[in-house]
Amino acid sequence: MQSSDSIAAEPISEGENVAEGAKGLSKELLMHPLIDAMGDGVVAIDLQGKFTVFNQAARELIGQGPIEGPTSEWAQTYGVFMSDRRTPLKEEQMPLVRALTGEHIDNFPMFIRSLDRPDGYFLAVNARPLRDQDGVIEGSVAVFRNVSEHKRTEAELREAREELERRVVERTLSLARANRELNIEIEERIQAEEALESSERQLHLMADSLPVIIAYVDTRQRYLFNNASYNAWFGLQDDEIRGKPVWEVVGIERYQVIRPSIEKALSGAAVVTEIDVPHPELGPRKIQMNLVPDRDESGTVKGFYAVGLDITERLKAESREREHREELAHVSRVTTMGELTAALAHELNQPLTSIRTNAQAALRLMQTDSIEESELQEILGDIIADNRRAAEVIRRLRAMLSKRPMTLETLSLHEVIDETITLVRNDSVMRGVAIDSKTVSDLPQIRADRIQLQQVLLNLIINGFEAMRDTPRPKVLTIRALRTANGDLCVCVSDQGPGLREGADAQAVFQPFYSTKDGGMGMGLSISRSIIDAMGGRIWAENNKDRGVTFHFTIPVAE
Amino acid sequence: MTSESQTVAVVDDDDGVRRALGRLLRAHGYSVKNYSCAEDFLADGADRLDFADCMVLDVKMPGLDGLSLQEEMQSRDIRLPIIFITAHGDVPNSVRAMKRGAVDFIQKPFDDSDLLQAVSIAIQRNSALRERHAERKLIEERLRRLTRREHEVFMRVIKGTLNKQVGVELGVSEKTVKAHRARVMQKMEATSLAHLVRMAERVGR
Repeated sequence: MQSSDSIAAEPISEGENVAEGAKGLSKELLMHPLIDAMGDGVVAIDLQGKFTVFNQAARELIGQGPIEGPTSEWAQTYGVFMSDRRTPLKEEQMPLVRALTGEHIDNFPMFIRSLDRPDGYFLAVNARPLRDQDGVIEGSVAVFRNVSEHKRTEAELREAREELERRVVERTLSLARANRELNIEIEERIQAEEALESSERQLHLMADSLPVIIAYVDTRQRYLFNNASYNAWFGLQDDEIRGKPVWEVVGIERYQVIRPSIEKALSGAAVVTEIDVPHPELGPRKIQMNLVPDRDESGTVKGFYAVGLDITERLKAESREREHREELAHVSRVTTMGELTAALAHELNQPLTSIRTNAQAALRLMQTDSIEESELQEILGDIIADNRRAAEVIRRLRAMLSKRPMTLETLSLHEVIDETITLVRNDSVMRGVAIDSKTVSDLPQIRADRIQLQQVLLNLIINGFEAMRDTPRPKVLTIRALRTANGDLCVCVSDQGPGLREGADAQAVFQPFYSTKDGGMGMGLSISRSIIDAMGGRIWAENNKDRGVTFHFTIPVAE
Repeated sequence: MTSESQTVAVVDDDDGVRRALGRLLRAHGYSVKNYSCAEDFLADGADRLDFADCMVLDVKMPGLDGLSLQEEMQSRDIRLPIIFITAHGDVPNSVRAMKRGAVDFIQKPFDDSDLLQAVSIAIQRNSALRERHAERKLIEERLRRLTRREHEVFMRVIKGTLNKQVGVELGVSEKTVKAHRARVMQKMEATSLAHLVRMAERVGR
């Protein structure tokens, strides 16, 4: 390959396009704007390590363009490190260099840090050797993307799509110019044509190496071009695609799905759509298809480019990210509750201290017969005032926990229980408690406040967890939902902890400040009872026959 | 157990708690001085020796908090024994306070017996402190009665130097040393040499 064959690092000069035009829709003409417009970085080198392709995305990702110099200097020049972010990547580890030996490299992690991007970011690199018709390696190509931030990738994709449209328009214009000049210059351009043939072959090879499916479809909806990935996706040979109508290639069912997009593209509008395409090896995949209309000089649509990116992995990563965010939100809410509890405990301790101290002072004074009626009145007055203070703290706590008026709605009890279990799943794993939840099928809908009902369940579940702190494994928390004789629904939450103390009043646990836990406020069950009362239900506790305690509560069914 | 003359200083920003504490302590025969903040306490002449016999101090207060007040008192050499009361079971703070010599660290709400026991321990500690302080003052007063030469003899005698050696060091006869020594014993009201040495130790000589 001669240096004059190199393409894409710089815009192709018009002279080169002239020969292209002679063959109508040339692959090079098709490929170059597409490569440059891709959201992924694409670079290729020849056997000497000289860059032959360096697309726009590559410049943006790496922070600079192609630089003359031996491959041994790349790590230094571009700031390339191994995934530990510290060790410079050795020459023989570079994916492009490895691909020159015939190796296929997939998802190679690489860290880039340059002066203008001191924080650096990770790239995932795929590389392939480029072979000529006889299978002799004549270079290599690498495709990479920034995997540090999916959001940025998205933005880049969007930009790339806009860029693609722009480039296509530009290319269409230069094609027209090239056509005009072609008639005059064609005789003199045989040399150039030969050179371009080589360049075109290289482009074709590259198109086939890219993990992107590319096709060109004309107005009769027949394929004029497709790359090797396209064949792989549909499990077909070139001659089973080229010249064939779309519906024959993709199947009539899928065609019905994509037909509106195809028609829209052929009417002159760019289309971005996501379609499900099963891969013969990878199974179901999500493909983002970009359909970009191709116009002639007069603006008439001649066909469209179809560029498809496999976004399955990206979508998966995004959904994982979303899950993490939700988890985080839950954790922070629980933390807030912890802080709230500490603050309220402090506020409650003050009136409790003065009530007790006042009462003890009064007792002492009465024992020594030294109390005067006026002083006793004063003491009792203070006790009442402090009691009000404590009640006010509790009123605020309740307000904070409910945060809004009760709104009764028709709900599926089963769903509410499942949602609540999701909230405590982490907690249950960390405490080594299994949750065994069963609901009688065909339970009628209930009439309740969803959030408050969840709060009650949450309370009973967490109480159960804590009661089993010293229970040997396996620890099981059992949740049952069933119908009572009078038609109400009943939820039972059972633990395997020590149970209520022998002879203890089972109703006492629902009193405010009743707590057996270190640092417990004794508010959970009290609040639960007021919630269940307000919804027209009942809550009670019973020791189990073998061990542990079961909390029961009822809720009225919807009319 | 307690007597009228013993005074407890109470510093707590919570009106209800402070009033109740005052009542409880008075019901048990103590005099009580109430302060709603550390600044008021310091401004009320807390550095006088007979100011109070111990103090009950809330940890969490606006302005100077309990632990900072303890620090401030130490820097001003106010040696009033402190009982901390707190609404949080705050382990690091309680360790800090106890290391600096607090008598107790009691969590609210508390039983009267716990508080009263701590107060009585604090008062005992305070009277021991005061006794040592009074003794020291007395010895220092006696030391001031000695002449310069008598003081020189005193310093040597308590180190176990023999009269003859003292005479050589001071350039006087052994007989003169003996006379000085007798006057030192008299002025210091020492019953024996051992007594004299003990007194010297009390004032760090």
